[in-house]
Amino acid sequence: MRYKKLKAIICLFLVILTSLIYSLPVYAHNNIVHRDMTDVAYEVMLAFSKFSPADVNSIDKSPEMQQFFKDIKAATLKLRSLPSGLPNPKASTCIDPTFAQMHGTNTPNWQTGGAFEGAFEAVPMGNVRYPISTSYISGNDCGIDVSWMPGPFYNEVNSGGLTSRDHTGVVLGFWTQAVDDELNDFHMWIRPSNILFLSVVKEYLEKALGVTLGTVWITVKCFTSCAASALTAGIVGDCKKCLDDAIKEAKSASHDVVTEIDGLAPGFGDITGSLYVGMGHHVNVSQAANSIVSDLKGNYNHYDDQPGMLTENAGPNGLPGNIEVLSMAGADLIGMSVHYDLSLGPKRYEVTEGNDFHPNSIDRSDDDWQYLSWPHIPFTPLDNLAWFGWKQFRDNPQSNAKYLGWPLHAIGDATVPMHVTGTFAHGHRPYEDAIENQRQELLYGDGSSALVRRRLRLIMSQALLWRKFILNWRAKHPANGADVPIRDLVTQLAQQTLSKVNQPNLITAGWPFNDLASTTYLLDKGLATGFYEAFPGVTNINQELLENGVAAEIAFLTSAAESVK
Amino acid sequence: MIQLCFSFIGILLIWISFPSLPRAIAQALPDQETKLIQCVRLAYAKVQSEEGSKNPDYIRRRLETANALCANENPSKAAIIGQVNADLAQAARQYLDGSLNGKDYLMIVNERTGKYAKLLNDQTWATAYAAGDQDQDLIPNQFDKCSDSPSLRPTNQSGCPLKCSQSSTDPACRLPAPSSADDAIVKRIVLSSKLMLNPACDNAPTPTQPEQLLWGRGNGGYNLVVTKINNQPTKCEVFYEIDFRFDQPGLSTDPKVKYASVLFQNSEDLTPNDPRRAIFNIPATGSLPGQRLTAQYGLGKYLRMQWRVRAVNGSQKLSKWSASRIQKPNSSGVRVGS
Repeated sequence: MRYKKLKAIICLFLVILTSLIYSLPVYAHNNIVHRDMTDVAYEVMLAFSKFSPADVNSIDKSPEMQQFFKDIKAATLKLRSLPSGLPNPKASTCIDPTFAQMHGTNTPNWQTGGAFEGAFEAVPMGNVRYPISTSYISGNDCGIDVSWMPGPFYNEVNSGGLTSRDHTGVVLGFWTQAVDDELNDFHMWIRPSNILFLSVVKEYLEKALGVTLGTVWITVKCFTSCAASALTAGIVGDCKKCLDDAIKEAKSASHDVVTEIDGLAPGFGDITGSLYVGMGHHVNVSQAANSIVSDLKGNYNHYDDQPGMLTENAGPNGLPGNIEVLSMAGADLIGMSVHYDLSLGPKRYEVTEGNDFHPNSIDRSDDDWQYLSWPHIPFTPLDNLAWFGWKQFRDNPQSNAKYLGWPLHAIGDATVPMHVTGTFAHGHRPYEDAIENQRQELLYGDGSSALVRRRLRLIMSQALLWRKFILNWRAKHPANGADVPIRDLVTQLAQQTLSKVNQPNLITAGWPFNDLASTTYLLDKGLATGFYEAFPGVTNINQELLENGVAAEIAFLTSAAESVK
Repeated sequence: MIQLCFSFIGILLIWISFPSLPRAIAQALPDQETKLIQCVRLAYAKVQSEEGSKNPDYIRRRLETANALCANENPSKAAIIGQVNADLAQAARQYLDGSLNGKDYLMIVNERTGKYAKLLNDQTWATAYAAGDQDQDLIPNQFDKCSDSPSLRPTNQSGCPLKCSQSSTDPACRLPAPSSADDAIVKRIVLSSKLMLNPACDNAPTPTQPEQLLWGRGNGGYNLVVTKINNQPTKCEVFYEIDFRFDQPGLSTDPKVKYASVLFQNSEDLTPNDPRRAIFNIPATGSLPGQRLTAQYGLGKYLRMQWRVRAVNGSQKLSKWSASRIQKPNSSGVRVGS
């Protein structure tokens, strides 16, 4: 009887374990897109710091634009002179053969001697000798992106070779994407009420795997079978058979893709990774979704004026996508909650004293964060994430260039329809992959100088609007000096993003919110990504979204530099 | 007496059967958490002797409550937390085994978390709840007009089973709901998705981020060179997932864009002794399993290839993707060995 019970517990755990598969990750815009948006913003600033309005055909010649040109010029100088904050490269030699081909040696010379001897982080951004890669910290090579170029037209503005260009944009872009590496933002754990089951099953699995200790691929169906028999017969019948099959198959079968369970595989204790970082990278500005939450729950779990991710009511209409519903079921079964003590996110991104005339967060206790499983927890919104980084930079710009990455990252995410509706389903991943695949085309068109110049004028017009947004706020709040209303800005940008994509004909046709694309992505990434790449008539919208983000970044960087003495 | 004896033996067995618990967990958890787990374990032992110990939902509720109590929560709040978490877990299990559809599942979730928010924030309700909730629907007896609502059944604020119709004003009735087609999709995912398990990867760090370096003809096919992952424990397998995107087809009959994803195991690395580079081969001819065949075709027949790579260990801990890059084949090929 006890034996059966033990088996039942094991099986119950297996069911719980299964739930891990459903707890899907939350991603930000793909890293290279973040990097490129910020880099383009800087290259535009560099271009305009070398021009005057009179030099640029068809551009607004207003006094505001003329002043903006001057401000941009001053900002680029200041940004270039800021210490990069970069740690030493991981490796002193490059494994990438392209570097050796271009450079004649595989050993980069960062020229960090003299005044910067032993203090790599103090090297000004404008003096960083090589374009650094997005894996500068997270990889294990020398951290140089040999393929980087400023881009069509910008190559003429920021001219030179691998070591002679201004790499300020690349360094800023690196910090923008590096916000996704803030693994300590959100840690998860299995509540002790459930971890007892985990340890029993772990033992069982270890025994089953024996000395082979290979990787076993177990179908969810297998777990489901075990669930069916767990409380009555233990590991028997289909459950036992499919587990045995999985162990046998481990040595022979080949697999194409990792089912998107990303890191929530069975584990003990602290659970973290790039998957959970993004939980604070959303803001749901959909009125439809938010009114549902208010109707159902009053204002009890409204901690911010615009909520962040709340999986149980995610998406543009408050209806979570299928993978979100599955994630929720998984997390509830396994009892997966935020680990408050280990998580920096709740402490960083609750803004209780913003002093920026934006509504503050309602303070939460650790209980509010961790007693329920994470899909029932409203995470902090994206604009708060931006504020955190901005505050660090504003208060100490000379040693905190990396913190510019937070507001820049938030601006990038606020151009993604799924980030502004708080969902990691509804086509989130394939949409972002499609944008990554098409980023060159979206940012530079066919690459002709004339076209890039035309787009550049549009970007500058938009950037001026964002600059006025900031200046108007400063005029209203003179006591705040050179402060930047970053929470207002990110929220406004998010609202514009939703407004741009919220076109009834497109929504009806399944763009951009397409939950089937998210579930298809689990099984065939190409098919799902291809849907977004081939969707007709939306290139202009995608372009506008990215360019609006680039414009906001220009305005932000220009304004942020004013806090640098 | 016999029952007591069995209970004792049961507790002992359970205790003995958890020898790995402190060992497995202690490596990753601070002392405070280990104490919390031990506190819950004691509660679990106690639950074994209680009536209802055969009911997994009862055990879950008791353990969830114990979890809050062990974290020094007051008893009435701990009871609310225990009830809500147990209900959510029960609903989740029913949803995953197909006995509850998505619409009903979401309704229960929202109804339960809505009541949770009210109970934690409305002192009158919290006090009333502490005095009793006979049918465990999270509506205190004092306000419950239907005190025998079936288990898990959503209720209105008066504690009576929710009946939604066209004219219903209860917000829960206006909740957007998944369709039966969604339920079918979920079923498909449950049937086709796989979970990776490898105990050797317990407590392994996140793999470092690999980069694609170059590719070209070699060893009877196409060799793909990436930076090697070397931060994982011994015997913890590393997989390299490579996404391909092919465009500019050589044949007009081929689709304009073709995609493939291939997962290489570290044992397939052609240069196992090279500490910094891993090389994987896709044969140029012959039949290949899964999307390797698509990759083989794309590498041979398309004029342009864009690719990216990420690493995953045997417990599905993932690195970030490298930046996708369009790359031409290395003009002199990529050859390994003689």
